[in-house]
Amino acid sequence: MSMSDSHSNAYAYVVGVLSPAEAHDFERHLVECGQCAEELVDARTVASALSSTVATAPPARLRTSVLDVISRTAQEQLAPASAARPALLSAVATTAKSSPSADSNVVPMRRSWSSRGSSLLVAAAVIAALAFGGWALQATQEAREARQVAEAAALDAREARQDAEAAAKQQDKLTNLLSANDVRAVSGRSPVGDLTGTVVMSEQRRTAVLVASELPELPEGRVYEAWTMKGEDPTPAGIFAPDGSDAVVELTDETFDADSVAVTQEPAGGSEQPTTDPIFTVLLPQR
Amino acid sequence: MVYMPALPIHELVPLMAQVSRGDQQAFAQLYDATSRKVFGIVLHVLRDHAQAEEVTQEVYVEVWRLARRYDSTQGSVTAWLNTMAHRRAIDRVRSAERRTQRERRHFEFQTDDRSPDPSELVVANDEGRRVRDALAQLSEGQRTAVELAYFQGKTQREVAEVLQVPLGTVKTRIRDGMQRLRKQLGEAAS
Ligand SMILES: [Zn+2]
Repeated sequence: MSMSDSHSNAYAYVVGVLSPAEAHDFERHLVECGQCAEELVDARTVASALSSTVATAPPARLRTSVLDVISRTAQEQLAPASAARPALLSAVATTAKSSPSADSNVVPMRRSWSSRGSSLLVAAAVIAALAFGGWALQATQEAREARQVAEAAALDAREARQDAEAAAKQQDKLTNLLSANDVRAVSGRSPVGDLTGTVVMSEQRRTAVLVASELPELPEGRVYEAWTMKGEDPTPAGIFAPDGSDAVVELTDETFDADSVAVTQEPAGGSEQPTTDPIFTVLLPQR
Repeated sequence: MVYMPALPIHELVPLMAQVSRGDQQAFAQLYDATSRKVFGIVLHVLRDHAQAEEVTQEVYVEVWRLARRYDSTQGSVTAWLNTMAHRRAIDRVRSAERRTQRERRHFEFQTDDRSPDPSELVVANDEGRRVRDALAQLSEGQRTAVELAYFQGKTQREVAEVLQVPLGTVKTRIRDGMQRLRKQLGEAAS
C-alpha cells in the first residue's frame, strides 16, 4: 500500500469506515505525515461535536455503578522504563527483521534519508510498542506486567513511584518525539551479529533517542557509552548498562550537529574519549 | 441525583490531570461533565439501552485506568473520550453484525429505520443545536454519508450502496462534509 492510498484518510478513519487493513495502513502513515496527524486531531474534534447532537443523559444508576467500579480499579502507572523496554525493542526487532530490505514499503519522500528501508517501520513499531498517545485503547500488557514485577519485588513504594514518574516523563518525551511532524528514524547495523541501532530524532522537538538491540552482554565493570561524532571527533552522549540485550538511550542535543552516533564499551563511569572501537555506528542524514 | 453543570472545555484538562493522580472526586466531576455526550453517542450507535450502559461503563473505567495516557496535544478531553466511546460502540455493532450476518444475508440492505427512540430524551444543548444547524448546510450526499458512517457504524461498502456511489467516493464525501462542518463550527467546537 502506497502513501497516497492512506493520505487524507483521517476523517474516514475517525468515523470508522476504513477496513481494518486500511486503518492499520493509515496508523502507519501517520508516523511520517504531519499533515494527516493534524487532520486527525481536527477529525476527532468534529466527530466529538457530532456526538453532541445526540447527547443523552445516562441513568443515575450508571453513575453509581461507574464510580463504584473505578473505586476498586487500579490505575495504570506507566511502566518503569527498564521493564517497558523489552516489549518496545522486540517490536522494533521484529519489524526490522521481518521487513524486506527493499524499499517497497517505504515512503519515497524519505528515501534519501536512510539507506535502510526498515527505519520508518522501526519508528512505527516504536510507536506501536508504546501504545502511543492518549488514544491507545488497549491496555498495555507490558505495563501491567511491569507493575506486577515491581510489586513482586516489593520495591519501596516511594522508589517505585519515582521510577514510575521518571518512566512517565520518559514516555511523555518519547510520545512527544514520535508525534513530531518531522520525526525521523535511521538505522545502523554492526558488521557482525544481529546488533542494530536506530536513532529516532525530531529537530522540532529537539529530541533524539538511540534504540539498540541485541547488544552483547557487558563484562563486569564495563558500560556502554554513546557518542555523537562530528567527523572523527567524539562527544560523550550518555552511558548505559542494560539489564538485557536492549536499550533506549536519550541522546544529547549535539546529535543535531553530528554526522553519526557511535557506541563503544567503556570502563564503568564512562570515558571522556572512546577507548575501544565502536560496536556500531549510525550515520545520520546530511542536513 | 444532582448533576453538576458541565464544566467549560478547557477546565477538563486540569481535571484530567487530577484524575490521573487517582482523584475519584475529580473523576466524578469528569463523568458529570461528559457522560451525556459519551452515553448519547454509544446509545445512538448501539440502539440498545442495556448494551449502551455496559459500553459507557467500560469507557469510563478505561478512562480511569489509562488517564495518564491522555495527551492534550492530541485534542480535547471530550474528543479523547468520544474517540474511545465511538470506537467501542462501532466495534460492538460490527461484531454483533458478523454474528448475525448469515441470517441476514437474504435481506437487502435498505433504509435502516433509526429514528430516535422516543423514550430517549436527547439533551438539548447549545453545541448540539449549532452542530445540527451546520449539518443542515451540508449537501444531501455529504450529510447522509457522515450520518450512516458515524452514527450508524456502516462500512464504506454499505454507505456506497445506500448512496449509489463508487466506493472511493464515500471517503471523499465524508471528508468534504466533515471539513465543511469544521469550518462552520470554527474553533469553538469540541
Ligand atoms: Zn498523509
